[in-house]
Amino acid sequence: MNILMPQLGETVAEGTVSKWHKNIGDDIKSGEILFEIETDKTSMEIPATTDGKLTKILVNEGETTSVGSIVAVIIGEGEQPPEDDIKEDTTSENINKSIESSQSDLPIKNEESFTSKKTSNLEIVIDTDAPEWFSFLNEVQTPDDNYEAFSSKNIDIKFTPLAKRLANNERVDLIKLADYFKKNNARKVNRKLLEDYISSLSVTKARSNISGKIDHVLYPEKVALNRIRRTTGQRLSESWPQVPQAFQAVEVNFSNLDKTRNELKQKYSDRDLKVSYLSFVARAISLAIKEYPLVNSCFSEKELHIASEVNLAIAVDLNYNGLIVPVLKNSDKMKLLDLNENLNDLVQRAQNNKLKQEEYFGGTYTLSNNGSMGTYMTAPIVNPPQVAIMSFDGIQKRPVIIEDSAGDTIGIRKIGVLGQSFDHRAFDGAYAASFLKEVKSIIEEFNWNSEI
Amino acid sequence: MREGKDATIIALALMVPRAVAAADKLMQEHGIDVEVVDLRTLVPLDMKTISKSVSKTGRLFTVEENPRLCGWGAEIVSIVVDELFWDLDGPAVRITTPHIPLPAADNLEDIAIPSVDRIYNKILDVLK
Repeated sequence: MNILMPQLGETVAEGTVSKWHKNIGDDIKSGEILFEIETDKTSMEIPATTDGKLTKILVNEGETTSVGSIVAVIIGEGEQPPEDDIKEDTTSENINKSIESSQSDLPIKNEESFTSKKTSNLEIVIDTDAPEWFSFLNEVQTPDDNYEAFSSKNIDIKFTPLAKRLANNERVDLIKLADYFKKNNARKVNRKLLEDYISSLSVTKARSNISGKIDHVLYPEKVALNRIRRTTGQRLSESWPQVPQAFQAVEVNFSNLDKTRNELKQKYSDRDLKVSYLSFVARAISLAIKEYPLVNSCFSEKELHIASEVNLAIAVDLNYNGLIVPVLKNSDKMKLLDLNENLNDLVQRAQNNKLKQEEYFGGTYTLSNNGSMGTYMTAPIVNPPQVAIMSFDGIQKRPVIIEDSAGDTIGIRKIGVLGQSFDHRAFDGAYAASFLKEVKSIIEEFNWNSEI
Repeated sequence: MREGKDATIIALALMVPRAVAAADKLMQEHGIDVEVVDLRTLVPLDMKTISKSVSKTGRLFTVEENPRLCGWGAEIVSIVVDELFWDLDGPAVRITTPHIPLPAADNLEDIAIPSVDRIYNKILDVLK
């Protein structure tokens, strides 16, 4: 079978083979990547559509050829290798010319008929002026059938209408389903097979649940999980195996914030204003995200989608009855006091179960505050599709070494720990660490007076 | 005529007892539980009963005494495919007298018209 240069776009006339993944003589399985091509618009990997042996590569790496011309030849089992290069066994100059021109600017769809006729009687086939297959109609042919059919070939399993409908109702992933049946050598899926498949799924689910092994004497008391807990459990068990996460933490000096808080207290002594450390941290994160937008993004298989807004999700504990994460929209557009007010309001309403529907959704970065319980450090779990989560822990007075012009001294400072877990697929430790450092320096050095 | 859950046979007149006999045999020998619907009349056509049965079993067989071409089974299959397509769990199959002039000889006639064994074998073939 001839491998043709595929049509990569409506207006693309030629493509460059940028890389060969296979060598001459390799055995090829249908679906394996043969080579990569590049055009001025796109690049893509081309899979084989048939099994066989790669016998010929006509376009080497770096070479450019027109759409529809032959790039390589794969010989399937039992197929006869085609005759050697057309050029070699032609004698007449005229013929040579006509063949060359046809190779360079014609999609040779008729290659096969051409070669077969050629062997029977060369003179008849190639009329020097206009070979009969050299019709202007040929010029618009593209070899799309060679490639588009691949996706459907990949799933060559038939579903009865009922099975398809049931699969849709049960929200079964048809691709996984097809894989499963392919493995089991089934070609047609009817209701019975589908029901077997679905029950096998629930068996796998049941296996991962260890409830069968619980020693009820040792653990006599049962606590039913409420809805929030179940949802949290589901989300987290999705996150943990799917998201390769890493954790980093920095110590942050909060002493400067204390000054600001005291000033705030004096300035607004007439009203009962409480600005929590959490608000400062939230403000600092919102500012730092502008410098490091990747932490404020969502991850999909091939891309990182950077959010246009900073929507901080704030983890709120409901008296041990579950955790909810209301979202503070556009937190970067709020100055400290504004943010503090909105944040307190949000947390309070979350605790009183008075959140609006939309406030549960749309978070782009999560901030969790465990400090009130006196923990030193928390490694939170990323909440996908978000790529990072920050935990802010116990601020305590600690002796620290202070370096200044007078030399090193030991002083008492309020130190807290900011820990961030992040999706390592989205970015690396250096980027995450720089972001943490940015947050740290904002908390320590930012001119907070400008915000009050 | 007979309730079942694996497939539906629609039959008319003389074919009804044969279909029931075939269904009994399928149940006994292979545990295939076939529902048999006696159509009783073609006009009016009791589409409600047919629909109910086919959407329960997902498989439709018609057993017709008439020759194949333009038999009433074709009409029923066409309505079922039209209205119950997403309930079908396999092809609808017609078991009929072949498309030939009916032989005058008794023994040939018996071969041409669907028998219990033919119904039984055909359904077994398709469902296996």
